[in-house]
Amino acid sequence: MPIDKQERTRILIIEDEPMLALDLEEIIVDAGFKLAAIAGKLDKALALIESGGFDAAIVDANLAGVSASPLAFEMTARGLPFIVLSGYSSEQLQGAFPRALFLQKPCRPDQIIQALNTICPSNKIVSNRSNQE
Amino acid sequence: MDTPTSSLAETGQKAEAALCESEVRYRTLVKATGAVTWSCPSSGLYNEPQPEWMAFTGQSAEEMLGDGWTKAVHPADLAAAGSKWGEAVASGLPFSNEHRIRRHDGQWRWMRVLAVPILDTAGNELCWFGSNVDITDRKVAEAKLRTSENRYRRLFEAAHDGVLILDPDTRKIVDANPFMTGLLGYTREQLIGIELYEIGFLVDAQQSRDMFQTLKAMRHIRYESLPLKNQDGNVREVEVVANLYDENGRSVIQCNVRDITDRKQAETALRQSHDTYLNLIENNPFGVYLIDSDFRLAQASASVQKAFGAIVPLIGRDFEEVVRILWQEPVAGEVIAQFRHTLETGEGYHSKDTTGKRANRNTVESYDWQLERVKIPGGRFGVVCYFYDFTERKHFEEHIGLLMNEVNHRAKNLLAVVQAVAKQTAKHSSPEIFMERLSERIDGLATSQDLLVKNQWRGIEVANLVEAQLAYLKNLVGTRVQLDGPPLRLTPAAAQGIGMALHELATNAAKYGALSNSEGRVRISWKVTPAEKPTFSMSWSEDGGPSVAPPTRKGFGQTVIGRMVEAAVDGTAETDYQESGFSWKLDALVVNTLETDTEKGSASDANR
Repeated sequence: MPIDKQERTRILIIEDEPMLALDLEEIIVDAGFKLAAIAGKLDKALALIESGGFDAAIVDANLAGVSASPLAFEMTARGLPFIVLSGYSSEQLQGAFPRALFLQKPCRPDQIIQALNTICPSNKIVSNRSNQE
Repeated sequence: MDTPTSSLAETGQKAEAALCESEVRYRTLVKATGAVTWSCPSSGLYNEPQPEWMAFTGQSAEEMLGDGWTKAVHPADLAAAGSKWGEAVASGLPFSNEHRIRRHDGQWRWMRVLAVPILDTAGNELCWFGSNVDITDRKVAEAKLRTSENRYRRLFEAAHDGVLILDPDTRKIVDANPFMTGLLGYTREQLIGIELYEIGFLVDAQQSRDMFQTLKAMRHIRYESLPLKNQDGNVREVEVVANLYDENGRSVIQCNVRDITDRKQAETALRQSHDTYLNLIENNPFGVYLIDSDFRLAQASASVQKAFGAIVPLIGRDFEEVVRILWQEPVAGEVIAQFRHTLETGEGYHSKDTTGKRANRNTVESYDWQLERVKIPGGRFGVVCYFYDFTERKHFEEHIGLLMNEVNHRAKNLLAVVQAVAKQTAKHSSPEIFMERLSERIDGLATSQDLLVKNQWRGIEVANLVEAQLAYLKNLVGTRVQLDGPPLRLTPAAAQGIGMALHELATNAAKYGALSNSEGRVRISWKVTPAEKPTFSMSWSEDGGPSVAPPTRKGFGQTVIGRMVEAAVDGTAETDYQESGFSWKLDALVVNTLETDTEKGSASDANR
C-alpha cells in the first residue's frame, strides 16, 4: 500500500459511541486510510469541519440525541465527501441527509471501505492498485 | 121595617145576582187555569155539545156527541182511561187520569183529566164535571229528565273512574259507584256513612276536616297523586278531584277518583328509561349533536360543549357559524360542505381522521366523526353527528411509533457495539478463550443496559453501576472490595462507557490482580472536585495481590479502560502498574459525565 496515497486521504470520524468510533478507526487504518480526528459531539465536530484537515468523513446520523444533519450541510457546502452511518433506516432519516450515501448499523468493515472508496475516487485507485499488487 | 114581600123579592134578586156574579167569577177562574171543562153523565156518553172540548179538539158537535169524543183520545190510552172511568163511576170517587188527546192541529197532547161527580141535593148522581189540563210540556220535561238521569246513572255505574258523593256537613260518603267500591275493595253499603280517612284517603279526621274546609271555601280541590290503601293492603296511586255543587239548595261534594297507578308506573318506567339513555349519551366519550333542517344546532350532548369549548349560546345557533368558531380552514369548509351534503342527499359520511387547527383553541386536534340523516319530530330531516376526539390517542400512537423506531435504532446500535467488541475480542484472544471472554463482555453490556432501562434512561447511580458490574464478586463487596463515594448519577452515555471499563477492571483483578488470591483488596472511589468547571474523578486501586508487571502486549481491555472510556466521557484515563498493585484513574468534566438536577435525562440522551 503506497504510503503517500494513504496519507492523502484523511478521515474524520463523527460517532458518539466510543466503542464504535474506535472500531471505525481500526477499520479505516487497516484499510490504509489515515485518521484525522474523532468527534462524539456536534459542537466538536462542527469545530473540526471549520478547521479542516480531513478529506472525507464518516458521520453517525445521531449524536447524543441530536441530528447530525447540520454537519452534512456544512460538509456539502465545503465540497467534502462523507458517508452517513446510522441505526435508523434511511426512510426514518428521509430529508435530513439529502443525496448522502447511507450505511445501516451494524455493517461489515468491507461495506464501510467500499463506501469510502466510492466517495473518495483517488483512494479507490490506491486501493485497487493495492489489490492488484 | 120594610114589607116582607118586597124584602123577600129583593133578597131573591140579590141572591140571584150574587150567584150570577159567582158563576162568572168561577168560569173566569177555570178559564185562567187553561183547562178544558166538560160535563157528561156517568155513561161517559156526551148528551150535549161541549164547546171547550170542541174548541180544543176541533171536533164538531156531531163528531163529539155520544162516544164520538173517544176518537180524539189516543187509542193506546183509551182502554186504561175507560177502566179507570168505570172504577170512578162505581165508587163515586173523583176520576183522575193522564192520557193523550188529539188537538185540533192533529198533535197528541198529554192531558191531566180530573172529574168529579156533581150530586143533586138528594145525593143522587146527576153528572160528572171534568177539566182537562194540557200537561204535555211537563211530561216532555219529565221524560227528558228521566232520560238524563238514567244516562248519568249509567255513567256513574259504568265509569272507569271512582265517584264518591259526600255530604259536606257530615263529611260522610253518601254514594259510591261500582268502580270505587272495586278500587277500594269495600261494598257500597260499607262505604256509605263513613268518612274518607276511614278508607285511608286522608291521614286522619283532622286532615279530613281541613280538606272539607278548603273545599267549602274554594269549591274545588285536586290531589294530583294520593296513595290509597285498599282493603287488601295494596297501595294504589290515585288522582282525586273534588267539587262542591249546589243541589236544590243543598251542597254535595262529588269526588272523582282516578286510579293512576299504571300510568304512574309507566311514567316512572319511561322516565327511568329516558334518564338511562340520556346518561348513556351524556357520559359517553363520543359527542352527539343534531342539526335541524334549517341548519341550526338543535340538540347536543354534554361532551359536545366540552369539545366545542364554551360557545354561548350553542343550541339554536346557525351551524355554519358554530363550525367557523371551531375550526380554521380548510377543515371548517369541508365540515360545512359535508353536513349540507348529508342533509340534502341523505348520504351518510364517516371520516376516520380529520386533523386540523382549531379556531377557538390554540391546538391541533384529531376527530373521528360520522354523519347520518335522521327524521326529526315534525317530519323534517336533520343530521346527527357522532364524533370522537382521538387527539390524545393519536399523540400516543405517534409516541409509540417513535419509541418503536427508537428501540430499533438502539438495538442496531447495540449490535454494532457487540460486533466491534467481538472483533476486538477475537483479535486479542486465543480461539480457546474467545467465547468465554466475549460472553463476559456481552454480559457487561447487558448489565449496563438493564440498569439504564430500570432507570428509564435517566442516569445511573455510580454505586449501582459498580455493584452491577462487580455482581459476580458480590460476596467480596464490603470486605475486600471497598466502595467509597457520594451519591452521583452518571449520564447514560457515561454509564455505558464507565460500565465497560469497570467490567474490564473487575475481570482483570479477578484473573490476574488483587482478587486473584485470597487477601488482595480493591478500593473503588469517586468524587466531584468543585471548580469553575467541576470535575468528576473515579479511581480503582488494588493492593495485596500478586506482584504486578506492566503488560507486554496491548490487549482489548487496555483499549476499553483507556481510549474507549476517555472518548465516552471526553476525559483522561491513567493506568499505573506498580509492583504493589495496579491502579486506574479517570478524570472528566462533570458536564460530560453526570446528570444534573436541572437537566432531565431522557431516552434521547443515549441515542447513538
